[in-house]
Amino acid sequence: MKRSGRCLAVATTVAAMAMSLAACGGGSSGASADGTVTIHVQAWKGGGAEPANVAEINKAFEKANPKIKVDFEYITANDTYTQKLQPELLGGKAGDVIMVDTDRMKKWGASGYLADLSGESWASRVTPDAKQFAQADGKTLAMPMELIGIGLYANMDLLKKAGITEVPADWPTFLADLAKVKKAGIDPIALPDKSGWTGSSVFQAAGSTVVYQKNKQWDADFLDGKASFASDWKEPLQQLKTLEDEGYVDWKNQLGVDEWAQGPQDFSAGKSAFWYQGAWQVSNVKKAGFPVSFAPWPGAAAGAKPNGMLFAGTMWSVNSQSKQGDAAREYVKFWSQNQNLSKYLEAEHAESPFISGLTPESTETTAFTTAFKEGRYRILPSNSWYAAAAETTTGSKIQAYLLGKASAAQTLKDIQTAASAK
Amino acid sequence: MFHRRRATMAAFLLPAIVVYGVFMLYPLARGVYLSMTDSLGGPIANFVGTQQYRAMADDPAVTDALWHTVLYAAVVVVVQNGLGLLFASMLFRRPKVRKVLNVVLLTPTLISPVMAAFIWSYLFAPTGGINALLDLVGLHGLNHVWLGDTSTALYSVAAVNIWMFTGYSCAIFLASYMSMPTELLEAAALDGASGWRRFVSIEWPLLAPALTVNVTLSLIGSLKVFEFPLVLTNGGPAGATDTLTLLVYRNVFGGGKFAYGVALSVVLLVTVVVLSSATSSLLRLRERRI
Repeated sequence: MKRSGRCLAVATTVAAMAMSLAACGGGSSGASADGTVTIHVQAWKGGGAEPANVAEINKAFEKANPKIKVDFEYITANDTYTQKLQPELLGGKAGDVIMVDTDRMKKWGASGYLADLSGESWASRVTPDAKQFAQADGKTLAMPMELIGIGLYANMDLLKKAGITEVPADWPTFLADLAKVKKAGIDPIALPDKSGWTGSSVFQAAGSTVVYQKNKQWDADFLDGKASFASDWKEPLQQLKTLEDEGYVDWKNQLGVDEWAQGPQDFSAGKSAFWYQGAWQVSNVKKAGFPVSFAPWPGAAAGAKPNGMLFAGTMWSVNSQSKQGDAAREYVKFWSQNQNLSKYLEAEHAESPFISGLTPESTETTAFTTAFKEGRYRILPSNSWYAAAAETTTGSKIQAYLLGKASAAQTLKDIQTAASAK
Repeated sequence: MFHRRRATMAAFLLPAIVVYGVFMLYPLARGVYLSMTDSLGGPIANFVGTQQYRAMADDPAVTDALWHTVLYAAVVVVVQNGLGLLFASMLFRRPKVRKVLNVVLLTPTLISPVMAAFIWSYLFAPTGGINALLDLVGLHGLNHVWLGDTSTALYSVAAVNIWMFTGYSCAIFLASYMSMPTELLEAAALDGASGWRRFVSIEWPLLAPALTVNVTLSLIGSLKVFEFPLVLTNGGPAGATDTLTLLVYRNVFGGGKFAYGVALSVVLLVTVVVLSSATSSLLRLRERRI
């Protein structure tokens, strides 16, 4: 009796364990009996604070393709997204269509996770500007969705109080405007930099005008060893310092403020006249109710027009392990069509990455869009020397410079080292 | 009969051994192997020997992070346990409020560390709660950018850790206090030992096992700290709060240097094991001597 009890207990334990191990596994999308397939789409846009009209476009897709259902999953951006997707890709559990940026496209493409989309009908319509960010080893691994600006926000109500009617375009005018705003008792500019993003991004935005208007081929020259930060990027770095020297910003304070959470809240609450962020925040800031203008960083010499700085933002990739490859490609193709993509671009306040693409107009981004249309722009080289690791290091080194812990020469040397790292 | 009993015991142990092997030993061995490859996190991984470890030796970020981690752990272990002991000592002497205050002290440990860090990031902000409170009590001169200054950022992050887990240390010390023989304390009182004298001669030696537990647990916890620096400072300003765990995270998920990140995690594991084992052994030796 005792023995049989023990045997039963052992058998039960072993069986339970076997069942729990057998339970590991499963699948995501599939086809139903009537031939309807469901594709699993994963993205860091389309939920939270950035709905970006994704739901509307998904609805339109399902309507146009009754045999394909979209199971859309919104995942928080940045590290959280990578943290979730990386093991899912490794385990073959990731979505059929996944959102990527250049950095992820390169890494995941190198691991063989992304399908080759070079043969898709939309691939030939991607502008050369955008194409380089969607390709790895000569293959198109993603469909660019946007070229999105990063620049200066201005609260036009506060500027009006200081007697300013338009957003400054050059550096001397910008400094003069900041002085007027300060004199009117308004906090001139917020550049929250707790995670180091704003400092490195303003540095890049200033360089987009100061460096690239002198030499459009600077990226290529740098990669060929013909150009260096020490000789060309002193002024962009100095612009950051000048803002503090003139009393418009206290960097130590700004390094204590989070650029993603507190920054947008503070600007929307009308706490400063100017602010620096990406165009993706325009839709949120508009809700605050004051007139806002989004423009290129005014880093140009007196009387000159500035370059806008753009970034190859979100892209769609197809999971190479997808069992619904055709449906996934159909989904991506649908997004490439002007009438569909324009809804996303409208929410993002971004430019179309397609030849003859449709870029929606908006009063808030007129200054920036004008610069883009006039060809006054530079795209962040996030596919080469300004990849994620270099961006993080640059942010940290600039923080040290702004705190007076490193000289300009040392900072530029450190940035050069980070940008040169393979 | 004896063999049958051993077979039965082995059968009952088997599930635990299998689970431990699958979820602990295998990942550990796999991790060590991956640290010796050029893996980007995908299925492609070429064996490169000790290349990642050699790269680490030339990386100043690793040296800085190791120093920050050790400094952080030292501050947390000393202050957290010092405060825990102080509170436990006070509560032991005040039986009427003991239970209530112990619960109050333990409350922060019930909050998710990530949530706590988010709340504190607002409190530490230049216009946040701490500076506002200093203004309120007329100490405007003490206003500071706690997380934006390289000289205070690491200590500010450590303060959150201490705020969260002091109640935990206190509870362990208090349990040790409660188990002290009353006749010993009464005898000490009859001999005229009170206050500091009683603490040094009677209580402190009797608290040795609790000190061992508290120091070991807080040391392991603080060496592995991740959520607080990630949310509060993300390693900034200018890398002043970069810890080993943040470097692991950044390399694995941000920088795409998966194998390098895994190699860093192996170094972190060795650091934690060596430091915590050494500390624990020394304290146990001290216990035996008392």
